[in-house]
Amino acid sequence: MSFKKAFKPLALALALGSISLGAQAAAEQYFPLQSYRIGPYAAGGTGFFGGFIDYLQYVNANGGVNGVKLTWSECETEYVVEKGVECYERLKKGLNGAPTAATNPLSVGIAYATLDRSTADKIPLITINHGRTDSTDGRVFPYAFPLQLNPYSEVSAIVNYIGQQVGGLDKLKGKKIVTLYHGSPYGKETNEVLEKLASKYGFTLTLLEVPHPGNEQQSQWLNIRRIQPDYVILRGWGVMNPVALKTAQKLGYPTDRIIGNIWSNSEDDAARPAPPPRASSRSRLTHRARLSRCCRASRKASSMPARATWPTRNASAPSITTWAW
Amino acid sequence: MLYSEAGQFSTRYAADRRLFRLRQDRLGLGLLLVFAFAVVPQVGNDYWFSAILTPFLVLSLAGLGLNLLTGYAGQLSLGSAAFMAAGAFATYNFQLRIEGLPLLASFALGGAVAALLSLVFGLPSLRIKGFYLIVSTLAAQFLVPWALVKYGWFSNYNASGVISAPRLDIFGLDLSSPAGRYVLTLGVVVALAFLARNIVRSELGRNWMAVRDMDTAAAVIGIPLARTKLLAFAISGFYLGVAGALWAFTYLGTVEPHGFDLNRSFQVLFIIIIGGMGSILGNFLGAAFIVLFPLLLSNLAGLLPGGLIDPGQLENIQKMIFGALIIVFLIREPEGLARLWQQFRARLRRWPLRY
Repeated sequence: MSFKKAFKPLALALALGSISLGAQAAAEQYFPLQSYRIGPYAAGGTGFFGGFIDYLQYVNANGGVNGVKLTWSECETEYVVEKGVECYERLKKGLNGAPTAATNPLSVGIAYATLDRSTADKIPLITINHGRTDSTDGRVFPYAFPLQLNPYSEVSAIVNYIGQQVGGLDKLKGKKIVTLYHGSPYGKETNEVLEKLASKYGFTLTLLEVPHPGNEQQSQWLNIRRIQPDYVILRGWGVMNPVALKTAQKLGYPTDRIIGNIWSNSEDDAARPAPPPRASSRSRLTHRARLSRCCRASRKASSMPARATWPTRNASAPSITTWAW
Repeated sequence: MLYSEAGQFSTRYAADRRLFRLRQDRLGLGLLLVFAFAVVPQVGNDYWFSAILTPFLVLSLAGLGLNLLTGYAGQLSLGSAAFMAAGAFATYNFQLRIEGLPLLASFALGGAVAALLSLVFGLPSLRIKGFYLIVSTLAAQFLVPWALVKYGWFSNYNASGVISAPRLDIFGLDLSSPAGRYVLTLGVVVALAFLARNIVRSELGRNWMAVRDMDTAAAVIGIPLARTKLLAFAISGFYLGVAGALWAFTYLGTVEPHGFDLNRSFQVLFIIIIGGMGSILGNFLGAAFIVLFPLLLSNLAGLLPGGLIDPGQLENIQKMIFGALIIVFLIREPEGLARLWQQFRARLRRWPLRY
């Protein structure tokens, strides 16, 4: 089951955590959840932490990790760094005698702020599908666990995927790729890697910035229409993603040529919220058709050997309204 | 009776001009400082140091900075967080690029950079007033974080634009532990608060208040308006810059432009509105209210049995309670918590008599 597979590294980390703290012979391991259920990013936080709790319950229902049950409690961060630090300090002691297994704030800012503290307190810090790229080096950051991918490997996986689509990485030569990125440190982080890859494979790279929060992208997409790239890499966040897809559709750029990253994983980004009036049902159909085309493409891709999460995610979502990544 | 000044006579001018004329004030403050410097580091724990006391002190200092500008000099500003960011990033760059620069000196230099920036954004105050001035300081709030993200030089070309604070070392003393960070913050904040108390009693402070109350009248009696206003912006910027540096270095240990957004400016503004405009103590009371009350509510909510209320709902209820409390306090005392304390003092002075 792909759900299990996707969370395998996490289970591994849990096991590691319980081994390293196992000396205390506790019957329970505690997860302090620095969740965000209110604030501007509540939609993401509620889904993720609800899912995390579901997963912990699932592990417990199967007898826990080697018989060790998992417990948790939540502390609201609102995605604000100082609240995350406060939660970390409040919850790091564990709960009812169960030692803290790992923290998992799902926020780069909070992860940065608690990295030194985690190292000092010897508590693993998990960043799933995001996080600080250099923390991949465990010799320097012994308590940071960027699971599955970091921004660099993510963007190079996207380039590999595009290479696969055009029939091999050597075919990338002369192709035009536009990267539309969020105007924040997160969005810019991969620009250098992309430039390296562009010179390595010989494709023409255009970097276009969308200022935060990204609810106005007309000029960027007009630019894209002028450039007529073969692919667009979408490194969005929050409201930028649905707006990008809508603007692309409006200006006639094929949505199956837009490759999103991990933050484009919401189905709501592409799904139409309200039932359309009769006049626009045509465009809706074409949109869905495009989507189904894109999803087929990515389902094919899920058999590819590269260790990337986005294709495996998609394999468990057969609905055609799913946006691929 | 407790707060009575009876029997305390000044026999020299110096005694009459001292910072705290009342013996009870001096005694109380002395005891409080001894408690904060000597007792708290012994009895506190990591949670109190890193999550409560340090942010409380830093936000008090930020409030103090804005209060000098808004509460004393009467110039409205919504750029506080921008100047904090400038101070934090300047301090980081001074530490990074000048080998062996002492930490306190880089705090001061960071503050100086923020002061210069604040001076520039204060220039419109010579021509415009009130809400229009807010707009010009709002420009700082948008410009500074944008520039910090746009130009990688500020964050030393760090890939993710988030920078880590270096080790905290003063005179060879390692202050990286939570208690050490608290003591360092406390030292800086207390020193600057004493300085601020002196400034507002000085000629400059009186000029500020004259400008605040009516700048035309102030100009008529010979107060140089431009100099007074710009000094208010510069000194306020210095305080905010140091507060930003402390926020980054002693509190979070990391700096990102996103942490100094408009919300932080509003937070600082609320601190001085709730604490009391034109008061030094008010900043501390306001910061205590803003920092401690949500934490108290959140800790209380944590005591509720899990699953009783939906977690998201619980957070929203806390927000409502907090908002209601702000309204209640402001209706009860529109001039802020500092005013409540003054009334309380006046009561103590008469106590146990009624008149």
